[in-house]
Amino acid sequence: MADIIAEIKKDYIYSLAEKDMRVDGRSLDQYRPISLETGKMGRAQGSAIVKIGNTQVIVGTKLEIGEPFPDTPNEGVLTVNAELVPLASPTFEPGPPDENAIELARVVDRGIRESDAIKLDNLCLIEGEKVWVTFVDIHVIDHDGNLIDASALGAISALLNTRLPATKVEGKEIVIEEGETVPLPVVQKPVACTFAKINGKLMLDPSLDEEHIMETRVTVTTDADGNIRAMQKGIAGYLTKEELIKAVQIARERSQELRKFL
Amino acid sequence: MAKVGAPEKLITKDGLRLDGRRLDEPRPVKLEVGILKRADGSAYIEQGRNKILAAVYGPRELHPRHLQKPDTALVRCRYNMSPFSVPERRRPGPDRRTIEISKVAREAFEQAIFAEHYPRAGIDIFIEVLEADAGTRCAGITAASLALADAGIPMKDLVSAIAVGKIDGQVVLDLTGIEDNYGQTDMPVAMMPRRNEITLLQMDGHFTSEEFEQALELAIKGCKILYEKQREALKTKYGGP
Amino acid sequence: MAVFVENRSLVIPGDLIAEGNFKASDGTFQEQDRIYASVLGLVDVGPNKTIRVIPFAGKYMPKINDVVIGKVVDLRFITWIIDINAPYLADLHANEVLDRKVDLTEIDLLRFYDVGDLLISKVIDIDEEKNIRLTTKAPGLGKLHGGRLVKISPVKVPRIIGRSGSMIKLIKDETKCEILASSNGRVWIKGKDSNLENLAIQAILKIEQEAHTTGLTDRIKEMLQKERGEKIG
Repeated sequence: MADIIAEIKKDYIYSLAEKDMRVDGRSLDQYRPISLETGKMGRAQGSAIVKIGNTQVIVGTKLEIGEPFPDTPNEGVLTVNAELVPLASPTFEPGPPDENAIELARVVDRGIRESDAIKLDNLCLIEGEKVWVTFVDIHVIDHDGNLIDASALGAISALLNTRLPATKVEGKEIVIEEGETVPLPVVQKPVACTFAKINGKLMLDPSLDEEHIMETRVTVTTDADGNIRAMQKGIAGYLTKEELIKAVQIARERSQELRKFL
Repeated sequence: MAKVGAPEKLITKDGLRLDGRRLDEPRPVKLEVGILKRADGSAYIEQGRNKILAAVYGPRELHPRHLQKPDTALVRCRYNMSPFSVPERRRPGPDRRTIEISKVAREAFEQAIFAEHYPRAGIDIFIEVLEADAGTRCAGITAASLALADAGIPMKDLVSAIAVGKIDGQVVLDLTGIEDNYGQTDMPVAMMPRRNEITLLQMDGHFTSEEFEQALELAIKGCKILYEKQREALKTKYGGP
Repeated sequence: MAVFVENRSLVIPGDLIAEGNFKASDGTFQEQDRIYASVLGLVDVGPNKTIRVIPFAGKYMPKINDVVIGKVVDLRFITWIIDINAPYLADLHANEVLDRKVDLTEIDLLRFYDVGDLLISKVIDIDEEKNIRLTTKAPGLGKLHGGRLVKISPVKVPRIIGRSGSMIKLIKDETKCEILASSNGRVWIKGKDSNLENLAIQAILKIEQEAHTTGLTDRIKEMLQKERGEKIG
């Protein structure tokens, strides 16, 4: 039964695509309505609730004092995690993160890391010993397509919203100055734009129906200066050189709209 | 952000890289087909210091049964690194990086394989990195493509893969570990070279849109170089003109 | 209309073989009027413009009317489950074995075929999901008693049989063995003594090994006659 509906929808979405149209009336390079709220999670150091259409993602940040990696002794640590919790979709199963959750987290992670969005060298407390570890936890709560863009937007938004406890170093000890906070040093605003390829057409911000029938998927993460910082082709299927160049061009333009929410 | 231990320059003043290669030159590649007894298909690649084995099993009966698909075979891929493949011992078993690579590598092949010829069956691709020096997912895919052909699996085309990147502000082909660590950008690409269809693309670092186009062009050129080497390896194994 | 590669030349998946009014057969795929290789192998352009690629490797994929040597792996209610060396197990229903109606309170089906038995059977049905049904209800089909089983690559079986059965006849004549070469890569051999069986097996493995070379029949004949002289005197 489910398959029959998917087939009918597929025909419909395909035939619309031929005329550069979409089921929900959007143009091919248009996002669904977006909303963003920050700072709603009282126990997190920073947070954001992102809605793109019916898709809803909550991102929270937590800060802990930990050890740096041996090859970057004077830099803080960034860790991005994603959970596809079962309440968000009938297809999400409880259990450890599957490959989709891992891919989602790593695509978001690369966007932030590769754009040097966080000044990690400002997060060093004692070189080689103690640094701030920034945990970015993505919690998908309603999956109606395009989790990557919603999560990436939520992650950078939550980081911009994050307050870092003020600290003093006394000998080898870190003393947290109660009640005093400073903003996390976030200096770049990476934004991900994801396309579905359907009937040979690139559609920005695919809905779940579009994702079900897409031939392939590609994400382009750009910085505020229009440079490309990360990319990821996902699922089976292929893209041509021309399609990739077009995706990059649209992403550079449309990402500016998303950045206005930050 | 300069990293500890970074070489002063990755490109010398005569325009060559630290290992003497031109900017658009791949590392030396050695490919061998059919080197494992038990696997249905196998191949081995050396690309620079990378040493990688690939094996294919199937189409074969798929267990557990609930994974079976009524209209097509399930293609699975496992990219794995041996504990001794990297400078510090790696903890055995999958981690987040290898799970993601396994996913995108599988997806690079799904477009090529005629999986629909084998409903309910499974086709398993194994990529084992024995020694790593950057570009292992691409080299692994290049080898696995030969293992698939060696197993007699029907495909639309071979899949060839190579990484491009940016070092010292210049777009280059086939990064080494040092270039990857201290360079600005890494972009692995896989494609079906005869069809000009790109089936894997990831990128991290920094490209302007002009650099991206230049890099994509170079990656396609690089895949086609690898493709010729793949053809040679198959012909060496099976004879013929 | 054009063929772009020489007949019997090696092709690789994705190679363009021909363009125009040809018929795409095994080991190829068609896009518009172009025919490409889908597997690694040798091109064969048939008399009626049928193009196929003879593969170097690959699993056995059952076809209706194939005669296959299967091994009983299970009995579920009134269906034997048979391993036919394919990606799928096959079903052998009791109706395709016995002529009378099956009453499980009266008969023990394992008396007919037990787990581990080798059967020579025929594929009678394959559905879209590749559920395979077999029969042993025809002359020449049924349980194989004794003998030895050799597994070879299924794509090499035609070479074992030879053109109109010439190769297998040669081995049978020289070794006086009964030989059944089935399309799923299993060859069953039963001879008067183990020396002769060994000789037949040796010949079969040599053919598998050298399948893509020319002049094989002569070499096999030479080998059989020489070895027979030495071993059996």
